[in-house]
Amino acid sequence: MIRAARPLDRLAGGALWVALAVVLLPLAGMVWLAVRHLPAVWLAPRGLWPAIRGSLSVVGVGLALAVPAGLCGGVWVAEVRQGFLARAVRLSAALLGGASGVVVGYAALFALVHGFGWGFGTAAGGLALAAVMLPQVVGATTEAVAAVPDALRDASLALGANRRTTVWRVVAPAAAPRILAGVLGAASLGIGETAALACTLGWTGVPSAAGSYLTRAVWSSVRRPESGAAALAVLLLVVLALRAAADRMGGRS
Amino acid sequence: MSPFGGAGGLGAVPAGQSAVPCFRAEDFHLFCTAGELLRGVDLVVPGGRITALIGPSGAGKSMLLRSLNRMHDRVAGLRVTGGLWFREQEIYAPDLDPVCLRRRVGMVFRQPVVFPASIFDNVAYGPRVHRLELGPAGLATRVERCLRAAGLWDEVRDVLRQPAGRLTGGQRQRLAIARALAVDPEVLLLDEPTATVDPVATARIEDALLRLRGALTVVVVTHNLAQAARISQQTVFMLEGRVVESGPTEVVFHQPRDTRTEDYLTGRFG
Repeated sequence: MIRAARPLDRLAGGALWVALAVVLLPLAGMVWLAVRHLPAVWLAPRGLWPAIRGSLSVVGVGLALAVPAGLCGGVWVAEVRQGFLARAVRLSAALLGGASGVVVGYAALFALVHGFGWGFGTAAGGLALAAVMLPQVVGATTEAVAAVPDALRDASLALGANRRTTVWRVVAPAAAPRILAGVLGAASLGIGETAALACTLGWTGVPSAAGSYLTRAVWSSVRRPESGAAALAVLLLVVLALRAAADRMGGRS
Repeated sequence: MSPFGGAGGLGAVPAGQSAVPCFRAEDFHLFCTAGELLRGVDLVVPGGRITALIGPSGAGKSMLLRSLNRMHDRVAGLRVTGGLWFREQEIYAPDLDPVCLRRRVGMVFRQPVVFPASIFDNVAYGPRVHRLELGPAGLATRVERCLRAAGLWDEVRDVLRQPAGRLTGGQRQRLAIARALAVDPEVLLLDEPTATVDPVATARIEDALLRLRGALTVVVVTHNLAQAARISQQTVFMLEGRVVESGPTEVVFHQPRDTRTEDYLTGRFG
């Protein structure tokens, strides 16, 4: 627990509790609201299930695209470290990571939904989410691979294994817990993504947009606060669970 | 084509009986961006014996050892001049594949390294990587033989499928030896293998090395002079990137020709 030995420590400890309260009290309130209006929130046709299903499928598609690409890119960047292509991959990942969701979403709306005529839906949403999550996966993988001690690589090379074998059979398993933590973090980011999904799955007022997702359920139920609160509670609890799992994973390497 | 490719190649000479020395160095220099680390090493390492590399810190012992199976290849700005041979093969020849060299010249490091896998999979790593056609039973036999040779079998026979990370430091180092033996190398290089383990574990590792004598060539870097005297038949004394003196261990220890060797052995420096 926090031991306040000096005034500064005490201040910091107090600030921590305030921050915790700022997060936890509204969360508790929302959970309470959601529980009190249980049937209204959960029962079809206006319940939360479509939103949860929509979020899960779009995050699933996003992960299915972002994880293999991010894994290969991250391992490659970390092991190669120099050269034009490695710099280019790092730069694009940084660029993509710096772009806010609305930029990615607008690009997807422009190119995928309208340009290629995919329309609003899981395909465009998944691809947009993949673009949001990819830099996270690349970054986590790069860091995880770079954190693997060189002694491990040397031990494998000294047995006559080549570079590629060493990377896939020794370095990658050693980095796996941290990579998985990064993937879980990316998933929690994807669940909470709003703008990129609004542009690809549709927002209230787009007649052709059928896609529902948690963040949409949050802001589109202003007239039924218990519904929005429930959606937000579910969202935050999922994010909390993913982050906690990611922490446990990351601490285990 | 690999210089080690042919079946009737250099590997056909038994380690213990060869007239050709296992390693030979002639005016071997090694440079990297930090400067000249080996300054003209002349050396002969006979096959089938245990050779100890001794000398104070910074003498270049580990540098020389790592040169013997080209573990320096990733070092920035590495450059070598002069000659360094493994049997009749020049180690830094441009057409030599380090992967083939390292399969015949294994290495164990100062800090015990275990792969994040089971004890069995750690030892089986080399045979699997080299796709040795042993079959499941043959692989199990090989793992057992190597763990016995490293003196670890009795401690781990019932926990082979458990993560190797649960082993103690001394056990890990013996596991690393077993893992290195599993590809049937001709030479085992050890870089201060007992520097990080306790005396009991040190004794076990020394026993394992003594059992290996004759079956393969062992080159061991050590700061522990008593250890060099206990286990080696040949001793090489290095100082400032050069070999000062080398010969049979009892001669180097009891009748050193060079005063610097005597000064080091009697504790006047180092």
